[in-house]
Amino acid sequence: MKKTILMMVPLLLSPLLLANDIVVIGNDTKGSEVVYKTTATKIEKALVESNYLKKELAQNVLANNISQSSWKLNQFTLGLGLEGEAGIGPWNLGLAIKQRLVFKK
Amino acid sequence: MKFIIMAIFMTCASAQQLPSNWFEEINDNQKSNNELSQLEGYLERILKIQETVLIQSEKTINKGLGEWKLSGQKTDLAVSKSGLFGFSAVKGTSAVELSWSKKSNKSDIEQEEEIIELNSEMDERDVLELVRPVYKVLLKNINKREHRHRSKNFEDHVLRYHRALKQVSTLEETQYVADKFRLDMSVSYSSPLLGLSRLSGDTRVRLEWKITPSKNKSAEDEDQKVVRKILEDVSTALEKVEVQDGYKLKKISIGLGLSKKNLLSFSKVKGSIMGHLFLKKVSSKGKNSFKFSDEDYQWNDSQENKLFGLFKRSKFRKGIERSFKMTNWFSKQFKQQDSDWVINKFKTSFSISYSGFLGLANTSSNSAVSFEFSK
Repeated sequence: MKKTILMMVPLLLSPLLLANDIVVIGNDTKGSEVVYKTTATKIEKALVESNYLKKELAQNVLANNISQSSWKLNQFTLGLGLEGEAGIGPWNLGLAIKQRLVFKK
Repeated sequence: MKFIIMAIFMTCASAQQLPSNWFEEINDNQKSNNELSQLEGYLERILKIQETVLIQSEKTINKGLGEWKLSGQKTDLAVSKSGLFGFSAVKGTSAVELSWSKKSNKSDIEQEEEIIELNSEMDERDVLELVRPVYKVLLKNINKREHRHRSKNFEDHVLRYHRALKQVSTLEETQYVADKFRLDMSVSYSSPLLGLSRLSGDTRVRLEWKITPSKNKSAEDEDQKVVRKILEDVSTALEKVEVQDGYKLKKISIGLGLSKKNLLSFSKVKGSIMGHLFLKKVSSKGKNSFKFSDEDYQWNDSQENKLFGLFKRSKFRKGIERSFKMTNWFSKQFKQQDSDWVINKFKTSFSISYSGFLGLANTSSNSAVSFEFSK
């Protein structure tokens, strides 16, 4: 009886774990569809990291280009995909979440 | 007991699944209320993640950027071929695009891209003069041989679209009229950055033709007929629908590709260059007052005299109506947000099947119909 109950526990818990699942959908480098299941916590962490890297990039771009330009810039968007350290899932799948940040003065 | 466990498992596992009739053509009259309530909870989690990320990022991002401030974020959601719904990766067609901005900041996020503005009445030489410098930017990292080939290809497409649009006039009797045509041209790239990370994205140039209304254009022209039917169908399909409180319908666009001889058509060719015809609602008009021609959409190969495309108009109209209702469902979910960061604008994209069925666009399909709502 105890054994049966113990076996049931992970099965009964699985819906609770699944309730936290989030899916990332895209195409890999060869154009085949990839569906990657992850958790809300992991996605949050990856997106915050990705945003931080984009900020670093923005600082470089602003320092190197904008100050020398005669154009007055009021808004810019960083719409780049960051794969690897800030990406989601096995990084050879190239699953960088499509997210762009908009900056304004 | 087994059944109970399976039932619990299935209930939770399907939370990421769209109702089947949202993405595939099925003879199913079942009510999808249960599926929708699960999807509602799942979408809420997706939105919560983005709110949390924005709140956390704002604190760190604004430090060190001087007078620049994080003012918005755009995130895309996607649908898999089997109907799973989730965050969109960089590569693949998006089903829903979300534009986030601060609740306190009412100004809209402006256009991201530089736009080359054209007019359907322009001379071809003037069009090329405006568009040619764009190739240099777009193809700057491409080798010489490839550069020549791609430039020729781009130029060819631009001119073919321009010739087609010259024939497009707008109708006075319909509630929606042709406003502009947009063609995005892009080159993808990927390069190493910071350790193991890679940077990927695309360089994009956006061409937009303003469609000049003219009564002199021939109604017998094939392209003109296609556009006329689209205007009639969209106007008829949306005559009775209502937008949820909180958001307003700003734009409707229909994806049109170039077939071999007949120019504007619903494109089903994967990877082909496809533009979007934007429709504008003429608010002063009441009900549609045009005489409806019930001839279906069809495209013939004039050289081989062979029919290669046929879409039932009645099915297309039904699809427009249904896709608008799906967009309204998203609108209802988004307006319930109560946070510092809110969705100011969103766009839904639908693909069209060979039978004329409209479903939420999946990762490998083209976007045939889009609705953009904003506050």
